Amino acid sequence: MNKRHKICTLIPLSLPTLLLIYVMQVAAQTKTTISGWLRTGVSYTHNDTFSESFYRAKVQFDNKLSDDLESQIDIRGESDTHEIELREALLTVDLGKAVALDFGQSKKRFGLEFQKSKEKLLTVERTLLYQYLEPLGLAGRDLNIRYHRKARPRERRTGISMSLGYDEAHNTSIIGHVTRLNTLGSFALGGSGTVIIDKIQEGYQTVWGLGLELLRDTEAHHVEFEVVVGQDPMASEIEKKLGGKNVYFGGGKILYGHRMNTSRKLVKAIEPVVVTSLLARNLDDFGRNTIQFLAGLNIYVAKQARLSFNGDLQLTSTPTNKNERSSVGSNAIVQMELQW
Amino acid sequence: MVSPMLKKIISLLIVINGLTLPGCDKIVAPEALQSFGVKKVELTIDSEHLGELNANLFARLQVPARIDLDGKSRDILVRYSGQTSINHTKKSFTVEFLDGDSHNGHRFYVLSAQYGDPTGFNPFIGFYAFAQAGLQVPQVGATALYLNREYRGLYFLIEPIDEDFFRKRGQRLGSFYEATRANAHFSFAGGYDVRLGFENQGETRNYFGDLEKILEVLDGSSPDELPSRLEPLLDVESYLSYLAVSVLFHNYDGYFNNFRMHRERPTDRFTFIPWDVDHLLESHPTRSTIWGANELSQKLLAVSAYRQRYRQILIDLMDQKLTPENLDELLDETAAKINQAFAADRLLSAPGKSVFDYAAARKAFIREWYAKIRQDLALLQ
Repeated sequence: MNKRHKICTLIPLSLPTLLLIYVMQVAAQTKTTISGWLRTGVSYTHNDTFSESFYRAKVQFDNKLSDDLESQIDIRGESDTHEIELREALLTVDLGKAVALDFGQSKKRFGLEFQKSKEKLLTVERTLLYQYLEPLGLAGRDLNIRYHRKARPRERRTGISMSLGYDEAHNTSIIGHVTRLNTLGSFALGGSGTVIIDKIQEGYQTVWGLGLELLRDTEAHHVEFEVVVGQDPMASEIEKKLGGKNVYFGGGKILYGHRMNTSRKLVKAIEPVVVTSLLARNLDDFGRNTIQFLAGLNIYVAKQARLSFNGDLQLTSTPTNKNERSSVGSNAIVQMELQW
Repeated sequence: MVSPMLKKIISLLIVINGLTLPGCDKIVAPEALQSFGVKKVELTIDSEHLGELNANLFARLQVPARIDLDGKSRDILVRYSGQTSINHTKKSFTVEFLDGDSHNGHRFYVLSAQYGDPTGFNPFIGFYAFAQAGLQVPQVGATALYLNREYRGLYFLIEPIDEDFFRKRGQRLGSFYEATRANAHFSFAGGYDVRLGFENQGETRNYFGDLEKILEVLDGSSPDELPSRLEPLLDVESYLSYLAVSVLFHNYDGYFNNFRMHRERPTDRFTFIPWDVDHLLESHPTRSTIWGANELSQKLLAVSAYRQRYRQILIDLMDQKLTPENLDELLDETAAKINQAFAADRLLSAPGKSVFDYAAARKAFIREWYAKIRQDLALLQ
């Protein structure tokens, strides 16, 4: 009995010790790269009585712990809170040939826009579909384990990503994303799927989402076609409580950006961007929807510095008359972004 | 030189916009949000922060937001609040005003769903009744809450009981405990630890000695010894008043949970302050009796003098300050005030009853229960 007790004590003591030894060993070989961005600008929301200036920053530390182990820490700060926040923290195990396993707090990679970081988007903010998906928990961030294999034009045309995540709302999500290069001419065809075990007052409900995308990304042209359908967890919870049924949403987006390089000293390239989106929050009431028309212009003053103008007109059918639309949510943003 | 690809894309965008724009016969100004006869509160949270808020529900993460209240638009931090109610469909919020700003003298404020109350009356009746019994109570107001312009229902702006609450009343925070997790007991029996049911929100956060002293006295005193040993520590009149209102209004969730205990200085006695009265006027299988519940009630009512005083408090409240007629008036006033916001609240109005139906049921319930209590007064002799 006593012996068993000693062994039980040794096991938990030995684990942190071994981990400490391992960390000390790899620390000697650690290479850290720092990247990030600084954004400052002004946003104006239509029909609101204010415009506000903002500044936000991201500092990302990538630590190469060994040949096949890397950690990433993403720290954000913003003028809204005057606070620094640890946004993402993950460990990546490199399995070779652009295949890796991630574990940590990171993105829920559902849909095209959540496959990449915000600074890689052509628009200042994510577009209407994702502004809708993120509060629902279909996209966003959670603690997850993700296997991903990148597509490579010369070696393999198909890239995949699979993750299993859990968040502080006690929701469990499984997300898959597949993309196949040069499937329709020069377009990559991709798809996303997610199933969420969503914690609600009465227990749990199962929620799903599906996305289909076509993407062409060359130096000059960037084109995205995207369709997303799924179940709204919050509206479904309420409707079921009221004796109704699940609520399903649907939407689509077309984005086009055209980068034109110049030889001017202060303007390295200009990039007009247009987006049109449609979002029906309840497919049973499709006539009540929101249409987005976004026009933007990115002016690259250096390779990693851009000045962006976005005018985002959002027209939503009014509750009383579907032929009338109000401009609720429309906004304009001017932003300077520096990356390093 | 425009490339063929660019031409195709631009043409497609024009076609799509051409198809969708004719659907917009008219672009109109956004509809004004209705106040439904109560104070209107608008919360605006951008999609990224709303996603973070929802994904961190149980971590009670605060995110930046904006509140429009009393004609002013202000930057705030907001989080979901509540203990068990945090998982309810209709969630409560706690807002923190920034940069020295405040509402009603408070840096923090609660937008409470009062989810346990299907009627919308309980915060008004409950806090009114405790105030009539001479206890300090928070201010409460009905609101129509909008989140990103979507009506979330009838909510209640409830003054938090915190340092600002006492400062406004000319008091120090001093020693201050919150009864939580429905596990606030007044006995060490079974190895109870006060940290399991009380949170110290006072000036000395990790010290529970003054509370533990009360439990020691309760556990170690006979009914004869109790008054002289307990009264230097606890304002017994305050607790008997709290118990009387809790018994008269079936505040069954207020015996092991929700109440607050406060004393300004170590030489003062602890008084009781009610909190979260959404569960009122519902019969409870074991707690709806003239004896109430919890170890403190049991110990005090074992003392003849306290039993007599408690009996008198019940009689005074039923005959003078909380007569059925006074309560009828309060119920009618409240029903008229919250009627529209209640009717527009899909969750509250789902059972198909109006506030006036609930008011009538409350009036009958109170009369019936008062009759039972009057009968049971003999048990306190």
